[in-house]
Amino acid sequence: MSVVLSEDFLRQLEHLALVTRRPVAGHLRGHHRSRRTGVGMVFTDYRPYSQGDDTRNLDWGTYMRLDRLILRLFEEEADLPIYIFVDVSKSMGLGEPGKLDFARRFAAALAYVGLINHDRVSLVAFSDGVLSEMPARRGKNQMWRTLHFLERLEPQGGTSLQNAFRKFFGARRTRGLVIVASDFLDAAGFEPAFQVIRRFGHDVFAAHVVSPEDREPPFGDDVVLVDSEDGSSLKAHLTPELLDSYRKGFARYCTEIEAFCRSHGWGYLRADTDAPFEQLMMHALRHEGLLR
Amino acid sequence: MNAYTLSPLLVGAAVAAAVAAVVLLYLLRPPARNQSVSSNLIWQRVLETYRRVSDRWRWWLSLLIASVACVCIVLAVARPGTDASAGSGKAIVVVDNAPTMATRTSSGGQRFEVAKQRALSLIENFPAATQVMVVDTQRRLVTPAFESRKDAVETVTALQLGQSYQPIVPSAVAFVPAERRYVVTDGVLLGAPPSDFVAVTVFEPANNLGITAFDFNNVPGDPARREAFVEVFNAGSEPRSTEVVISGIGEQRVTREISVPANGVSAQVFDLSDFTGGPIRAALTATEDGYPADDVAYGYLASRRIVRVTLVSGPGLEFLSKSLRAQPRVRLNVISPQRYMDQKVDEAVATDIYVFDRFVPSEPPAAPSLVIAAKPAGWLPARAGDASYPDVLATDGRHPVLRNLSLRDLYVETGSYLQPEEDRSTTVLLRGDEGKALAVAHDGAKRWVALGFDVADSNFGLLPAFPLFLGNSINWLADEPEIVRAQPGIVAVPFRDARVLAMDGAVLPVTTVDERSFFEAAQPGLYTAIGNDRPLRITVNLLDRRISNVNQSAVPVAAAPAEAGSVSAVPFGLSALLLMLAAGLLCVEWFAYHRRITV
Repeated sequence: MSVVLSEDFLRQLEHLALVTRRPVAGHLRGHHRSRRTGVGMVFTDYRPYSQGDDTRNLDWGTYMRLDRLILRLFEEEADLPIYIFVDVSKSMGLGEPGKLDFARRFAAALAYVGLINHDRVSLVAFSDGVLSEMPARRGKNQMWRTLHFLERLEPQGGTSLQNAFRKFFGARRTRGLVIVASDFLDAAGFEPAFQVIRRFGHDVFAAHVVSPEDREPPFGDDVVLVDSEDGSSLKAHLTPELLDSYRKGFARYCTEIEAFCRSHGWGYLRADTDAPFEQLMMHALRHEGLLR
Repeated sequence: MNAYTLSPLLVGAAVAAAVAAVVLLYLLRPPARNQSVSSNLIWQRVLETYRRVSDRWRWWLSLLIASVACVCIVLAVARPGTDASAGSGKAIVVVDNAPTMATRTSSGGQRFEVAKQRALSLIENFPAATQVMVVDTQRRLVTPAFESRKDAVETVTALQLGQSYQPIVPSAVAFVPAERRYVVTDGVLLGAPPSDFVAVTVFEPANNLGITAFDFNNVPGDPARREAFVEVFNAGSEPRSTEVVISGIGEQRVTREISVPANGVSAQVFDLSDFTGGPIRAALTATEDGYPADDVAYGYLASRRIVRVTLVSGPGLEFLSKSLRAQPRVRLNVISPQRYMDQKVDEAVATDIYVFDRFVPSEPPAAPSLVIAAKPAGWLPARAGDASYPDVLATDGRHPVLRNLSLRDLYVETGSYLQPEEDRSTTVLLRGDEGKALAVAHDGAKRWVALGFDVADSNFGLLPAFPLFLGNSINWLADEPEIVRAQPGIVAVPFRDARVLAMDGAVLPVTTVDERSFFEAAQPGLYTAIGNDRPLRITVNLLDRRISNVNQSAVPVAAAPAEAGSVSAVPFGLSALLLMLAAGLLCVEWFAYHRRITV
């Protein structure tokens, strides 16, 4: 399935950049603040000159007053490692519009923003584990590979956020921005998985992909609710009270995820698939502080 | 559909089948369809807190509502109110064949025909093994008995209208065990049926004009003039016009156009001075009249207008002459006994009746006579002893002289007992102690009535019966044809072996019981009963507003079933109630289903 982003929309995205609330730890030069000092524009501190330091950073004014060689330190600007996790579990294959399609476009748009800003963009497709991974890419010319990666994604397997994050971050990864596009319908819960990410100190942005069917079940009468992931069934007679209870339960679940994210200073966006996609990207994400 | 054919067993079976069908349909409901959801994670949480047990109750509630609604519909169709005992075997069907059932309906037929049709429909819808007793309100079916449906149909078909205006549901029927009892009636004459009977009404409002009064009178102060009084009743709900025609013998005829208000009467007086007397007929010429039987009435106008009475009396007993003079048609002449003895033959001819007061001529008088304080004479009974304070007993109230008299308070101080000859022409009117005769009437060539006591020696002159006694005696002695008024039906004639003729001269069958003869007057008319050498005129008329008011039914019109064979309000009301209940339950189920209260 192709990931369609209009030309106008891409043009608008070119004016944006992904931001993170904490200094990045990129190794390559970029446009994001890092904790390392070095060549940069933003003054950070002074320290005594040591042999071998770049003499261009000596503070000659201080030397004239104190007769001591003091070196000016600057924040080094680095690139931002961006890890975009796309949930491709079977549950993402449902909904109208489809949640996986939405997640693809979402990931493509953010990857595009990252690539054009020379951030290192990694794409990870996961369900009950990491299914496929696009290694870190930089530069606008990597967009086609990115799109190609996304187009090949198909819904499969159950959801295990924890397994996926453990497996991915089990390898050494530079601390960066983790963007998770998922419906977060993980039987093991979302918290253990998020704790894994938190342990590695990544900044997280959770995009909660919600289809209208998840939000407002359209069916009535007697139904057997079949879990799309594990095939388990649940017989229910959908009364108005029960549907109301479901709506409240679903809203409560969304609130729990959002509250968790907010409590850790992370970003959260409830992305309804039936909402205008471009509007969501241009306004909601900027409002949430993911784009600038 | 009429489900009278369903026995209780069948009704039960139908109900059971209906409930079973509903349960089956519920069980056969399509299985719950599979609905793929993203995850059962949230559903599971919700359902854990939701009372799942209520689903089962919802299912049962829905099944209960549907079953009750279905049972209501089945019972409404089966009419349990009347069919609760269906198949139990015995039914009584009373068909009202009172004369008012001859009232025409809007379809042109009679109410009686509609009643028969409905009775037939009832019978034909009974279970096949039902034994049916057909009873009529006129007792034409003398010994009703339970019979098969087929025979009952024939009985109903052969049933005819009766003539009695006092129809009844025979009380004996009440003691006959039967599970179903129906009365098919218009409720006009029969009134409300007994409580344990289901009324099947055939009542339908009809236009009717009827004569409710017809009588003759002399004009006060002018005995030569006579007039007829006619009252016409309009039973309809709209004023109507009609022509009243009074006709007598030959070309005698009086006609008048009158208007009668709705549910009201019009009283008319007609001058009949030019009529010679004899049979008189009053008739209405009303169109579209629902009940024609009361459109005609008959009377008999006395031929003799003036009765010349000669009172032969000495001084005293002034009230006797006054009472005689007060009698209608009487032209009184008072003479002394001596004058009577000296009168010439032509003078005697000018007298129609003699009244002898304490004087008895030795020879029979030239005219019929009333003898007060009779003494032995050749033409009168012999004396049989003295009477002193006797216990007076009127022997024969049917004799014309004693008709309408009450002599219970008659008190006689002294008198003489009479010894009448024992023949058919002599009748003892009053008896004293030991059955001895105190008053005797003789019906011979020259009639006479003899009292064995003086009016002055009794309180007879003070009794209201005294002027009536004089009037009856004068009428009888004057040999006016006696007139009996009756209503259609069985008419009694006060003598044995009467020969009864209808207006067309046809001889009617007569039954003699004891001293009376009975015949059936099928319709209003003038009948003549011949016996004792003298004719008896019998006028048979309806002349009853209760009869003419054919729109006054004791069975409510609202109870009138719309279809033949259907029954009255109670079962229909129950059926309608059941249907309404079923509809209400279905609405509740519909509402509950769409509100997801039931499944």
